[in-house]
Amino acid sequence: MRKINCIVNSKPVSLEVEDGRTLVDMLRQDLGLTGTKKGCGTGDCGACTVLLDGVSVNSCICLAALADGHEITTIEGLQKDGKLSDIQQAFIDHGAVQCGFCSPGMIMSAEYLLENNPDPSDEEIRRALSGNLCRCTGYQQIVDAVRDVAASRRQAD
Amino acid sequence: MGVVGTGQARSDAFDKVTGRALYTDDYSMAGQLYAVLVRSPYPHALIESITVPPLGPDCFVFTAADLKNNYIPCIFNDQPVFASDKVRHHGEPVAVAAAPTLEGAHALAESVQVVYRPLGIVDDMLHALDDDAPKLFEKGNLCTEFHSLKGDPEAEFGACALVLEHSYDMPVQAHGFLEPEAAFSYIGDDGRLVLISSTQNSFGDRFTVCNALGLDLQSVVSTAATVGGAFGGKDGNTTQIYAAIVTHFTRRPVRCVFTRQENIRWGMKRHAARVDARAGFSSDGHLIAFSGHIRFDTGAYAMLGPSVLRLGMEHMCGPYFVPNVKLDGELVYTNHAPASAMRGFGAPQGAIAIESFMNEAAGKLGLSVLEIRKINAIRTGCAGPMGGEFEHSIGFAQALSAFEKTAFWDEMKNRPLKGVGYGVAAGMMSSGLGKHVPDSCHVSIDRQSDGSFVVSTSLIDMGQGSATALAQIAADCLGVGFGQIRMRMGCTEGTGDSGSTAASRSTFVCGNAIALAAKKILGGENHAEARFDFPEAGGEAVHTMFAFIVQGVKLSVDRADGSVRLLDMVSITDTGRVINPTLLDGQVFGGVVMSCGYTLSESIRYRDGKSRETDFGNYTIPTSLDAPALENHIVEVPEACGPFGARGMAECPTVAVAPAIVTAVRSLCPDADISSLPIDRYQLMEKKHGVCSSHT
Repeated sequence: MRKINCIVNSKPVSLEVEDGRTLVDMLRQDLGLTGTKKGCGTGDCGACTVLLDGVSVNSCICLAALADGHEITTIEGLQKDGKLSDIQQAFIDHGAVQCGFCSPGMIMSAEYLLENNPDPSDEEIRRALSGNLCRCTGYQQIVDAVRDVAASRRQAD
Repeated sequence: MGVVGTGQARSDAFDKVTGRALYTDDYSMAGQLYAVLVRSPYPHALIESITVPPLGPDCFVFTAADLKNNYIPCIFNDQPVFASDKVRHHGEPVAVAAAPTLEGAHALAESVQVVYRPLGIVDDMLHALDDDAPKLFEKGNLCTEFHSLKGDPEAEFGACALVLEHSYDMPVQAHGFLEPEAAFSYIGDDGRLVLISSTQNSFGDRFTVCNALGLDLQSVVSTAATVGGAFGGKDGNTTQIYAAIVTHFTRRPVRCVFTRQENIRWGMKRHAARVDARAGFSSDGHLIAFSGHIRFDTGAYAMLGPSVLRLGMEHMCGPYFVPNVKLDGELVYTNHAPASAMRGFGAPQGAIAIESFMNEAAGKLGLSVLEIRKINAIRTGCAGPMGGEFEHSIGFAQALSAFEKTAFWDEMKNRPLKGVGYGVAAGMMSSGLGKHVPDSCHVSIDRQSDGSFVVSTSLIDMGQGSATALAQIAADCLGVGFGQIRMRMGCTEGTGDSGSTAASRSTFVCGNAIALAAKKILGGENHAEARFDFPEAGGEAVHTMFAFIVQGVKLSVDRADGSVRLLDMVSITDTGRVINPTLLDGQVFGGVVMSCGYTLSESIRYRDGKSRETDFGNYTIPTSLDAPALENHIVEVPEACGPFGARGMAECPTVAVAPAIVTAVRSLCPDADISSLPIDRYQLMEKKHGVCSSHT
């Protein structure tokens, strides 16, 4: 067992986990944050994407121990004062959500992209999301949503 | 102004983008057990003995010996819940082990001793019916066959100006839904077994559980959680029965969730197919005769294979009128994991032949690929390929005309880009379960004290958006706002059995039932129930209502490494009146990209009866970089008996993608022999260095 102290969605968290515990299992099972999904367990599908110190990672292939002393943001941490993030809202408006199982991870990857590249081309959007598989949407409405948010953010600046 | 026809945002989107939506694996309860299957390491073997080791506290193992009826109810009832005397595919369940931790359950499963006597295997469906092929069942390896003859194609071929012939080998495709198969069960406060699962058919699951355990139907409540995609691969038993068995005997909460590896190797699949087809044209481009032979590999069990075969045959001529048609099909058993329903349900396998013929004939007869399709396009009242006639609205000719007006067509015809391949294909896909299968939808509407309405049906929204589209229909039928409607879907409680959510039927059949119930509410009732029966096809036809699509793809090929880059894909969809254009686009785009994978990268390959593909690392579905930029346009040719004029369409976009891509690739690589999917990239490499022969 190992003690983990970290910040999850802006709140300090302290817990004990098994040595081999993955970050996704810690989030889902120990902390009850089931918004992060587990789609493969091998880092191939991206459904478990969260931000570790602001960097997108596949939490199914990260040990929980990696989170010790660090900050994690999950899909549950994106709403501010009960208001959806602009990316969450754009996913709704563009029909970028179907079954929704990839949506939390996809949105986290989009958050990471726009934080680091405020003016991405379509090719850059597609590259940034290429680690997040989606079987329902064919990606078009997701790309549209991300492009739209980038444009709105630039306009607001 | 109503909400039908608008791009109303999904009612479930808020919960899905915030992580609040509860999928099956998100449920947990104190005292829960994890269920893990004991699976066969052999693709074909006799079971000599099963020995369960002494069990520790809170550890359980159940086998066929614990069941009242050891079969999964389906068309042929040939699939056991647990293999007891013989295993017929690698990974076939032999027992279920349950323990308080997942690791403990895996360890327990591994400790179950099963002694097998391996048998010879059928690893190639083309040899499944050979005299010396090992037999999966006493009756042999022919699961079922189907034949149909209209006119005299053999005689007519002789009189045709152009006869084309081709064979194709089509791969096994995995559904690739992002949420693996999952079930959660427990004993409710009232003592009944509650089953929550990722499913397309709650009533079907309840029947499967009650049949196996010998329970009264009223002792089980079955309900769908939020479902993370299905595409046919959750139409039938996956995990449900195993969770329920453990809960029934232990009275404990149980979760059974497949790993991605279990999903890829042993989840349901699209049937591999061998397609042999021949088409005869007159000199002016009329399709005079067609003969098609399909062999489908259903794997170790029939599941929905017989229906898939029949639908595949019925769709083999595509959306074209043909006076002389011979269709032959057979469904064979092999020692592969069972295939069953997958979006398109047998139609994509055959479409590649007829659509490729259309494109080739157009070139040889001096017609455009749209002209030849217009000449042969089916219209309402046309005779179908198996007799009967197309009775409902058809917008195929209109879709072809609309395609002519696209920028895509203008570029392809008038100013094609150098080094870019263009391909066009068309498809049709039936809606409804088809003749002889009960196809009804039950709906109830309850007026709430706050003036809103709850609309209940057992049909399920697996992600396609039916909860939203149906609420739009209900809102307009009741004359209230979208926000006044709440959909309650996917449960065996509250309404009657509306069957499986499949066959592109929900919007049509449930929308009509909602309209009937809404009339009673408008008549003053506070609670109204209604049932709508899908209209049955006349004559020999199986299906009577169809959606249509015309698609064009633009791509390039890197002849150094044989890779295909998809650039753009444009679709024109005819599905009658559109209830929600945003949802419609999503269905088209998702279906298209699923079939881009079918054409270029996806295949489960068996070696010695075991799938070589094991997870998303080696079974590669398209990423956002692989998918082309997508565009969809609609033509609205209303259906007189549809809700607001709508017809079903969810599967249609998967049908014609492969032939469009194959045609475009052939235009760039005329020397390549493309007779199997996914397209072998070594076929597309320039053969000047002689490096290709070792790979093909």
